[in-house]
Amino acid sequence: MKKLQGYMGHVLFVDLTKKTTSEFPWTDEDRLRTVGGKIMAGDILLNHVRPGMKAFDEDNWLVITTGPLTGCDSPSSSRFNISTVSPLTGILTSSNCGGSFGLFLKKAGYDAMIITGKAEELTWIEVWEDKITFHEVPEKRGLHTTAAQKGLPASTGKLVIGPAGENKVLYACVFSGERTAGRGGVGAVFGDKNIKIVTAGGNRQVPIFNKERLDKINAQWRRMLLKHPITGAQLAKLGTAGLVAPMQAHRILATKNFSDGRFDNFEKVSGEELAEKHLIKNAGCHSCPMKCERRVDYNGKNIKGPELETLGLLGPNLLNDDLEKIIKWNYELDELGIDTISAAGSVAFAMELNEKGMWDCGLNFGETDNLSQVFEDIAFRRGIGDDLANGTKRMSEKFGGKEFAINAKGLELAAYEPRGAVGHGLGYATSNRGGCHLNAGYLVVLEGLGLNIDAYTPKGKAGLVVTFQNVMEGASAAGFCVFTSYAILPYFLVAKPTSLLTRAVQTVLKYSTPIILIASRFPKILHLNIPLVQYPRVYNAATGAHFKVGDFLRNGERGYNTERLANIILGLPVGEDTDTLPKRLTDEEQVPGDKRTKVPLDKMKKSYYLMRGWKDGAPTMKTLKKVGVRIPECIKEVYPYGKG
Amino acid sequence: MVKVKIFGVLRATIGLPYLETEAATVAGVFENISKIMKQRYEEDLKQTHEDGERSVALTPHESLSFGDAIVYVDGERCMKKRMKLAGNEEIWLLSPAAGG
Repeated sequence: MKKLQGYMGHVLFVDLTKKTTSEFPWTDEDRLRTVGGKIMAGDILLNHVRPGMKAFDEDNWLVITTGPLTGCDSPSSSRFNISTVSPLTGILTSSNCGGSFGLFLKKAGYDAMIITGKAEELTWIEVWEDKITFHEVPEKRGLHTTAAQKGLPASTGKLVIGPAGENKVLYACVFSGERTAGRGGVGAVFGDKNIKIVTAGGNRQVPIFNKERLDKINAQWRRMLLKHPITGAQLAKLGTAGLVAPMQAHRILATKNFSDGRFDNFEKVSGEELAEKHLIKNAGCHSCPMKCERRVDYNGKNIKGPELETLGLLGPNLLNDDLEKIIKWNYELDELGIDTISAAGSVAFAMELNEKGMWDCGLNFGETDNLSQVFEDIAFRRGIGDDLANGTKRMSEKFGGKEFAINAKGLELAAYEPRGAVGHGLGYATSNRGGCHLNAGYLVVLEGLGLNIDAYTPKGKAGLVVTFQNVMEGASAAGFCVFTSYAILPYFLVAKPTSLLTRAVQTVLKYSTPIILIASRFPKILHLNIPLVQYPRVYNAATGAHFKVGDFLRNGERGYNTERLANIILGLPVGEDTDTLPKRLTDEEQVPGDKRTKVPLDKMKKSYYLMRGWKDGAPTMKTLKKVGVRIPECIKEVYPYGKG
Repeated sequence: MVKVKIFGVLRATIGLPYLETEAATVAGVFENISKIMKQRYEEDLKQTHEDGERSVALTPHESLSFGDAIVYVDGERCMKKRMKLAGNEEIWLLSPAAGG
């Protein structure tokens, strides 16, 4: 029986093959163990996946989860998550989205929805409270993401795929409005299951434990976010696009397929240029005070503008300085339902293969007039688009060039060149879903962008990466945008980036590993709540739980170990090849002659595994038990890492 | 003349994307920028009094110190405000940022 508030108390299980629905068992104990979001999804999938399971197997589950704060009007808490076995990486992917679907799924009365099986015909799954209807929609085949959402019932949350998902492009996205569950190919799994559309809606209310207290903390947190130089100023004024210039300065702006960290014409594709010449207005997700979305003009249409990753990877990384083209491609890729990061990374890799004479594909750095056609060819798997649709890792297996195929675990890297921020490189390598900057822990925020600890030293980085990965994991599980975590960096330090105090704190952070290790081993020393870390306070007010900062971090740690264990079951190699980066980033200096400008990955990984309680990239049984992972029965007897 | 490019939130704080100024040190650049900001600030205050509508809270900042910005001189991070300038450098002033 559900006693915790904040949750709707139901998980919907949909079998597409049989066209049946049922209740998936999920208790308060499960809720407290996972909180929600990607950790809940990871826990469910860990206890479902089997060795050898592939993304397009009929019994691969799509697990769509919300957080307990989704629908509670807490700042930036409208997010939802889609986890599944990724067709791109072969391991778990968790794709987070800011659209309205999560809010409406809770209005329908569900905290989560699991989909298994395959439909025979293209399908729309309509969820309206207890009534679930399967509509066959062959007439929707081929529709772009905007057109696919037209005519669907108002006051519902919508998920759709575009042509790329239908054609199983391995990095196809799912769209909710104009927002994207972008990474890891969740759209291709929708396509494989013949799902074109999912809608959810209803009139249920999210129960709240102490509304008065929740409103008070929400208001306090909102003020804190608005006052902060990053969440209240930079993200509001320039959006994520405002990062182009700082990344150029810090040599982390991926350029020419990550062969450099600076681009001479960076100002032409900067956030300042976007704001001054193209911006119509700011916008944002439900209940978000940051409003980081850019609305821009495109052929008379008011559309969502490109984010930093898109600007960086379709700009400097292709040696392209035409911002109008990037706005256009961003729109086209969204309409086709393609992840801009993986698409741009794949094109950059193809350009370098062509330059080196390894694949005569006709793509050249700096020559981008034909890219609209290339993106459409990817969506429909035509010509060179068929290879590009498989991503950089598979292309490198076919054409060679593994050392400059810029991916981790098969997922293309985001736009941050890690040789200018080596801790961020450790994050990319160890991230459970592959080359993702956010799942990586986003250490660039300390290595130059927000604070300025030495970006080139490996010293202290492992502990900071572990901590930031756990914080972001925990925030995401509760339903929050991970951008809220930037406000944990004290205002007075970020507002004065070169002051003596800030410099002193940055020096201390380099030596923080022992403190982090102790806090990780004994989370009860963090048995407190502080205004700087609002997540447990909000969670408690909404649900009636009694979380402290230590519980919140431990939950993030549990999530990280849960996903890692699921990945090992799915075939992630354990040992030297577990957490790697392409050799370009670990063996070649970004600035020739400067030995510091490459990622000392092996050195940092040793400390990282020690901090995590892992052996060769695998959590030991002792660690799994310590952090409270629900270990599947099937591996208890055979798990080779029993001794920690 | 030293060329100064201003990025991020600082561009709004200072009210300029770019300026050229004469200064012997990095600290001198900040002094010159503060003079410009002070002038703008006073003009804005005057405007506020004349039209009686604009909020003082919306007026530009009055000054900028070395500690308020991330400073690059000719592409390299500058941590010393007394760093001497030859007069032909390009300086970047940036504000802290994050995103994803």
